[in-house]
Amino acid sequence: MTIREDDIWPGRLQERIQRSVPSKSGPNRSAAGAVRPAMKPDAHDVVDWAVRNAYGVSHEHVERGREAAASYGTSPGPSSPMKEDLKDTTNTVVRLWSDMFVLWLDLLGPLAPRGLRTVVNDFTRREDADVDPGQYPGHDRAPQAHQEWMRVTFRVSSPKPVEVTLDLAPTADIDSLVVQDLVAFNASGLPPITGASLARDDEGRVVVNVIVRPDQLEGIYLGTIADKRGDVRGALRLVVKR
Amino acid sequence: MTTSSRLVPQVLEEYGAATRSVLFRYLPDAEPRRYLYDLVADYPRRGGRALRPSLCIATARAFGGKLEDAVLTAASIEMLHNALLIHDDIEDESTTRRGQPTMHARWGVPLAINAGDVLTLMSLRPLFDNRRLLGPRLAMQILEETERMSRESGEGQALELGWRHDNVVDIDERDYMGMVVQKTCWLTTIHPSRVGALIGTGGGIDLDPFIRFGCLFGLAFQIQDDVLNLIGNEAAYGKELDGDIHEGKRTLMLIHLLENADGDDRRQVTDLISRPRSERTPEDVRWVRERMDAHGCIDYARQVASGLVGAALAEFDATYGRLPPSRDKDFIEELVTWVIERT
Repeated sequence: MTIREDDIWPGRLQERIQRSVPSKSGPNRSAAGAVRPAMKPDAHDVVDWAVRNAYGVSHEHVERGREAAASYGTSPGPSSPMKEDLKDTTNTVVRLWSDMFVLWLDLLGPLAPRGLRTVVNDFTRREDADVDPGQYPGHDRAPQAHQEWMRVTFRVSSPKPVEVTLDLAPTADIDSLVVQDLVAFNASGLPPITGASLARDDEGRVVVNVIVRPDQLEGIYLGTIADKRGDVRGALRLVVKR
Repeated sequence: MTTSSRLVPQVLEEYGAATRSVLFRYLPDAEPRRYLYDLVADYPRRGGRALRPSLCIATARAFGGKLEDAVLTAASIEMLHNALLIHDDIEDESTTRRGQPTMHARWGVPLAINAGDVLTLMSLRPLFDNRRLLGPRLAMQILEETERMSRESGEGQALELGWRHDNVVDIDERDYMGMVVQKTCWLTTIHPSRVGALIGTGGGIDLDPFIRFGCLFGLAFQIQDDVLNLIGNEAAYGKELDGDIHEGKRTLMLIHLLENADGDDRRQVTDLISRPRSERTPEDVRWVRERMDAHGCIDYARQVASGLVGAALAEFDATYGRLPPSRDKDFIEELVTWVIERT
């Protein structure tokens, strides 16, 4: 790649033309370079050759991004974005569990010990001191909207049987909500279910979109639903069955 | 493959106008106007197709976001693009940009470099303002994406300039594609679609597929751009025809010529592109162009661009295919084909 005009001229041209094009270093060397084709194809394979090269280059960039992400993950320093993310994630998990606990207490209704309900509600309020506590599902001071109908359409594409559960604060602004990746709950190492989303259709129904890949393993997957501020507004639970 | 999209020009105009309305709010109406802020606003005022910000906004909307959530990021992309154009024109010694003299041709190199620097830094402001609009975490993600895109673009530009500086002629198609992906694709297609998807999903999406889509799409775009430099309508193209040969740019056509020309021709092409631009005469440029025609270099490049568009459409299906039908989704799909149909 760094051969210059002086290296080629004179004398080396014949040798260069007579032999096949050697495999050589590109500007961005990586493991993906191993798939680099050594021989240029015939003219009728021009497109195939070009597309293969383009995929090779794009693969290098994907790998480079992954390497960069991995290096960020180990980088020290108080301002590391990953550390902030970790903190956010921890807060999210804490909030999720407190919210789910509140939901559970609601299901228990009057059977729930009064003291326990007070403790949980106080905890939730302290976590979200600047948020109207009535915005959370099942809260003691739930607003009037809690009484309104919530109509939900589930658009689930899955090659396996699934069970879907949606917990959602009734006053949530659907258009601003984001469903985080659904992470396996009952086993570690399972790939998450990505791309789940919420929307509102023309008739005002909440539409839950979930696509389960054919290779998704059986398990219980849970993803938080957060608003723009990162506050948890609900949870989406998916049980992928055999 | 669709042809002559009517949707693409409409959406480009619509999203381009939305982007510019925000962009100009970030350009100070203050002193020193004559030596700085008039220059900073010069290229954005000349217009342009707004392909990059439109792709960002359309992707955000296709993934469920709103225009107003994406428009700050779109404005930042357009500002950075214009800033880089100022510096590119200096580095390439270009004389025309969007139908007018380049900034350095009009104002001199020092003022143009400074205007480019300031516009680059000003492009960060909308990204900081994203914090209030999108929240700190998503705003930070977009900043990180912008940092990577900027680095990739700078590395790609360095490769191209370095090859010209050292008169490197042993470049093959793969080297060329690697350079173009960095120099062009990251800013033009990869980054706008990645940050658009981040905004549309609130950060909850795997961004790797957008690299594959953006590489194939952006490569087709750049190859067509290089073809238009040779055969385009100069008024519509906005730059001087055959300018790339004048500048000794390593294009797919030039690489194809170097690979296929016989001994004497190859020697002469190598000699011509090694000279400083000022020493390349119009006759030299015409001769290189004739050799390109003789070896079918333009047809070859068009064939490659068409193949890449086909592959980009396949990646579009994989990346955007599961989204519900929308005008924005249609726009992005038609945009892929449109880039090689434009004149």
